[in-house]
Amino acid sequence: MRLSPLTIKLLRDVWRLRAQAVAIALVIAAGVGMVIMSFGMIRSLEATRASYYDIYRFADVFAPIRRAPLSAIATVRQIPGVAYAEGRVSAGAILDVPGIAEPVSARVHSLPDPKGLNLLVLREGRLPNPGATDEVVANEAFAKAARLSPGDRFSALIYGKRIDLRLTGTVLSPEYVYAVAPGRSSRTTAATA
Amino acid sequence: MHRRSGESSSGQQAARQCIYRIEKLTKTYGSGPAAVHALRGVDLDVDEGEMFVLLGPSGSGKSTFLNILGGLDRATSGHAHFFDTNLTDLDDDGLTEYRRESVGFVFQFYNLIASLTARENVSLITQISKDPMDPAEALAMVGLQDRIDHFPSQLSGGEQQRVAIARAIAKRPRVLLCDEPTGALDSATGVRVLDALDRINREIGTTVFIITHNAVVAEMADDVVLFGDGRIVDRRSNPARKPPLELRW
Ligand SMILES: Nc1ncnc2c1ncn2[C@@H]1O[C@H](COP(=O)(O)OP(=O)(O)OP(=O)(O)O)[C@@H](O)[C@H]1O
Ligand SMILES: [Mg+2]
Repeated sequence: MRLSPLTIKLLRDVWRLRAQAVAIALVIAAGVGMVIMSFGMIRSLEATRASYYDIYRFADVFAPIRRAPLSAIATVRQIPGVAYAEGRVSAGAILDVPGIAEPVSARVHSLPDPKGLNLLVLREGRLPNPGATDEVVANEAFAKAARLSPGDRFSALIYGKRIDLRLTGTVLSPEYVYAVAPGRSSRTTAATA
Repeated sequence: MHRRSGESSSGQQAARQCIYRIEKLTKTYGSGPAAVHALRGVDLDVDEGEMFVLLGPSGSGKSTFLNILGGLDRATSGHAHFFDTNLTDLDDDGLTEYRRESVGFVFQFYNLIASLTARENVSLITQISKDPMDPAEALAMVGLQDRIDHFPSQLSGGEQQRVAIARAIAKRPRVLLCDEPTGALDSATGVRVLDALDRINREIGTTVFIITHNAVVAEMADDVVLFGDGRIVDRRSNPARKPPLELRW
């Protein structure tokens, strides 16, 4: 097949501008690569988040009831549309951490039911042994801010009572993306046995 | 569209067809007090196969006239017949077809494509024509058989102009319109370009119009038309055409 003069002109002009043509092609390729990469990244982040919430059974919607007796759980479970209800003990606490001058404020929860919702992700150490009353795990970011690591001992003031606690591990909870004290914007929060 | 009238070299006087019949042609640019009357009523009959030279001062309307003949521009009033077709009646598509089939243009600047060789520049046109010459044949007619594969930058101005002429005639147009084809060339180079035009006129019978500011060129024509202020002020026929290669200025 013989090339038409216009095709020959195109090829010669591109050849004459080959340096620019290559540079432009590379710029375009880099741009397209960036777009593909960022879309891939967004997709994998979304997939990671979805599987994290899925594996650790993060509830789509949840509502707390405060100051209710444990027996109220059965009643709550009867309410139409409630898929699952779980009771827990939750309290504010003041921690006395060695090496930190001012008291550290925290929120203390009982451990979630391992067959329930909003499960903990163990980052370091181990979960408290069942029945061990002085063992706690802490939110990883909180532990880092309070300079606590597994094995550390500290005392806590809960409902006016002083107890000695031992950190057995650090965890993540899908419930807490970002830990802030009630009414303040500073560090807090732990989960305990 | 039109039948060719067979052999029609300038030597034969018998039974020539009238290729252009122009009556009361006017062209006005703009309107109101700013209007420019480029043509103020031009009448001209042209026999096929003639060599015409158009002279006249700058601004007298020569280019305007040639552009209307070539279908590049439209008259304001009057008629311009190309054989039986009235160019003033054609719409844009009709004019485009007329230009493509029947008219070759040569301008002062050659408008060659720099990245194509002489042959490729010519074949650009032969590819879209109905009954074209071979590009090599067209280039041989203008004396460039040895420069066929040269790029425009490797050719002199006169040679580039001859490539432009080969490109214009390769589709075998009925008429070749040249607006100052030697305007950018010196005398020795200019006569070779004029010689190429003369040869095309004699050998294939193409009607040729040449606009020039150089009165010497008039000697190579059958007919000389003098423009002045939008009108034809004089028309004369040469008793004999002088070969372009004998012209000097
Ligand atoms: N597009 C246009 N718009 C307005 N006026 C124009 C236009 N084209 C040409 N004219 C005017 O028409 C008149 C004739 O112009 P034209 O180009 O035909 O002259 P010419 O005889 O070819 O001159 P030259 O020898 O300088 O090429 C001039 O006064 C010019 O200014
Ligand atoms: Mg002009």
